[in-house]
Amino acid sequence: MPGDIKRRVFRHAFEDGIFEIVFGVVSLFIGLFFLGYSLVPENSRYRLALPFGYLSVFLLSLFLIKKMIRSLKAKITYPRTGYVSFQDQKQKRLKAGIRGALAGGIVALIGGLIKIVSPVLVPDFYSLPTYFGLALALILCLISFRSGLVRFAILGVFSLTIGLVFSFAALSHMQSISAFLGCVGVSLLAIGWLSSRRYVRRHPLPREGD
Amino acid sequence: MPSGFLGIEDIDRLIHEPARLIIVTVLNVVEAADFLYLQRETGLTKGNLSSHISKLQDSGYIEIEKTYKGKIPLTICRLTNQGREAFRRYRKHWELFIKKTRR
Repeated sequence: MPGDIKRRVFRHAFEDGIFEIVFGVVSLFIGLFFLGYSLVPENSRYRLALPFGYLSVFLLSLFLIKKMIRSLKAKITYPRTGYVSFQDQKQKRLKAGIRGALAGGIVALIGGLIKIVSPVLVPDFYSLPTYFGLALALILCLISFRSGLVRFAILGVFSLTIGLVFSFAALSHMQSISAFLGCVGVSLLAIGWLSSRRYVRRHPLPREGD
Repeated sequence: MPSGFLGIEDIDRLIHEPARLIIVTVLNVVEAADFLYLQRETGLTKGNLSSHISKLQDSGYIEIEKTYKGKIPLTICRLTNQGREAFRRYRKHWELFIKKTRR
């Protein structure tokens, strides 16, 4: 029974579509950064600012994720289906760290295999969309497995496919990464919006006295 | 350890009531849950849930915190260590009972 309840709690956290909306927005934001960067000429002095750009985009993305999830959950989820938080935050973080390291290891291993098998992917940067797609696919499939929500598995397969497509596309590495993030962002946003709409319809706001 | 023949005599009657058993079971696997979430999970009315939560709070099994998430007021319930221990003992009693009554 507790396993079943855990799954219900996990499902409750992801069924509202907010995860997809937030990560869709963040993917588009990062994608736009890479696209903007690909438009800067090769010998421009602005290229020197790249490390600071990465850092700023990373920090801003973290801030956006936290702020958007909090505000959307407070507006959409908590008044409809209530608030619930998972057990033992420290243990949870440790487990997430171990899983992240494992996922990273698997991605590196498969990435290495792809590189051996396919000489087309020799320049490292060109295979980045595949690595990103694979990492995202692993995360989404894990969410799907734990919550029982099939749409995450479909999104995972889609992100991996898109990653492979853009690794082989005739684009510069910055353009291929931005195109990958753009496609993933749009698909996450679309699925998130549809899921959120369905969630709101299925769970109307409780009336006074309910 | 239960003292009686089947061990069922010593069972915690406060947890044993079905509605309270669901509340405690849900709170045992999460860190905290608000009133609305518990209401949806248990299927109880507001009044009923409120009365069961009060009983569990009075016995020290759960603690209640009134807070805000954004602008939304929430009544958050948490299982105390005492409550967690009581639930562990309750399960132990049942496991023992099932073992003893297995054919």
